[in-house]
Amino acid sequence: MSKSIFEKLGDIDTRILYALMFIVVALPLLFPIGLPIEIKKYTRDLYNAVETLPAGSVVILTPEFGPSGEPHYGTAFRAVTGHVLRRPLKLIFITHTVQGPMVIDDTLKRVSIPPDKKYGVDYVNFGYIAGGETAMAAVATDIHKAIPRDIYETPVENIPMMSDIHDGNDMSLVVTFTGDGVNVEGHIRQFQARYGVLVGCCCESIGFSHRISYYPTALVGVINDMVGGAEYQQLVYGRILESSALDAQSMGHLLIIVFLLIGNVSFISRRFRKM
Amino acid sequence: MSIVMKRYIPMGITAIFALILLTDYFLVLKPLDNMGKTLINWGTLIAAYALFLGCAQLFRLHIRRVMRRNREWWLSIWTMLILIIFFLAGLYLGPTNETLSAWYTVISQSIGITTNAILAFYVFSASYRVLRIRTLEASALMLAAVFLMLTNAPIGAAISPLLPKIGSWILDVPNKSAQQGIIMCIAVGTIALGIRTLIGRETGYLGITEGEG
Repeated sequence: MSKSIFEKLGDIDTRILYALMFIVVALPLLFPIGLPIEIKKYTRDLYNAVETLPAGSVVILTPEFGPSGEPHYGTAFRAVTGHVLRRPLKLIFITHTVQGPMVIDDTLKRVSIPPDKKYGVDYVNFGYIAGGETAMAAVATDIHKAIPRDIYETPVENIPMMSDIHDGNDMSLVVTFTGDGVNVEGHIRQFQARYGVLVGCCCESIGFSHRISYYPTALVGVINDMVGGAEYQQLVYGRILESSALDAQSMGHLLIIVFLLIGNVSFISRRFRKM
Repeated sequence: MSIVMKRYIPMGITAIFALILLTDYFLVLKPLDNMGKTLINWGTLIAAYALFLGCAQLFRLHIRRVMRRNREWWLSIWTMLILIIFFLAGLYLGPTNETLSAWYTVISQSIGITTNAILAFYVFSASYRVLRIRTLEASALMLAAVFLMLTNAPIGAAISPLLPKIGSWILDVPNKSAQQGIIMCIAVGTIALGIRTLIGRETGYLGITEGEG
């Protein structure tokens, strides 16, 4: 019995699928469409938290990702860093991931730092600290003891902005960029539950459905992957800086949905034929 | 090793340290606060030491693979070589060095992003072949996947403003309630595990299984 056109559509060669995906993703990267984005409440709330912090408040940013996490968190990390640096806040970088210091270094080169912002006075980079949640607890209870030197080996007592920052009582907001739920929960337990410090996070779309369970009580805001990063960019800069990636993502999602429908039409057609 | 050394002393240390840290977490008492801070700092030092231990263990494993000429043993040599190069570079150049930073951006970041991007092809092929509306549950799963894909990319709102609203409802109502239930179950389970550890009923972390030692 020869196959109907619908049945044939259910057996498309994998190589054709891969080629289609490649074309659909590559075209918007070469010729961006610039699809508008809707800013979600989870992103807006984190933005508002940073925006409404009183001058001199201390913000900790913890990028917990390596090279493979760049597409997920890179946009958001740069957008939040840029936002905090634009405001009269004190910024601390800490990471609990071995590759984190390189991410911080790369971000500081790519974000435009306002000329009035000075290292050691307005922002400081402490680099990597081992120990996961134990390290988070150490930073929250006594940052001077937990990290005696910054990444340039400057003793913490010689860093001007650190003279007034000792423990969680002196901190206002922690934003963590991670796919690991333990990092988010660790920051909630050690900073939010104990000292009332606001905690926000950026996570992969896969983890987003879990992380929003803590929103808006324990987490002040949640950035959802690359699209959330773009939303944050829109709020900070009034435009999306890397819109072609979002267009590629949109087209990729659309292609998957179209082929889900094709696959299921073929599946139903086969079922009817067997009846 | 005697049962005292193997079981009771580690259990006693765990119980004392856990009690100090728990009390310090919930009560404001100066002597306990200082003890708590010291213990937590010990924790970070031990974690840093564990990194070296992990490296040593990795070398032990790969040297054994090379000695036994296991399948693709040359990949073990490659792993150790890369580890040594990056370790020495980090040691001599420092974490803020421009060259090391360039290695990260040019090599590591590019490879990482490429490897991650390959997933799009697999996910596309797998979803096309596997996500079929065979049962009611499978249909619900597919519908949720479609709405969330349209919510997580700007294309959804471009097609219809209603699509992201449906996706957000799925996330906020059925998903959130189920997730919060799971979180509460985990929390209660963690408390039970903590109590069992404190009273010495939980010995898995000592490498002792039930009925042993």
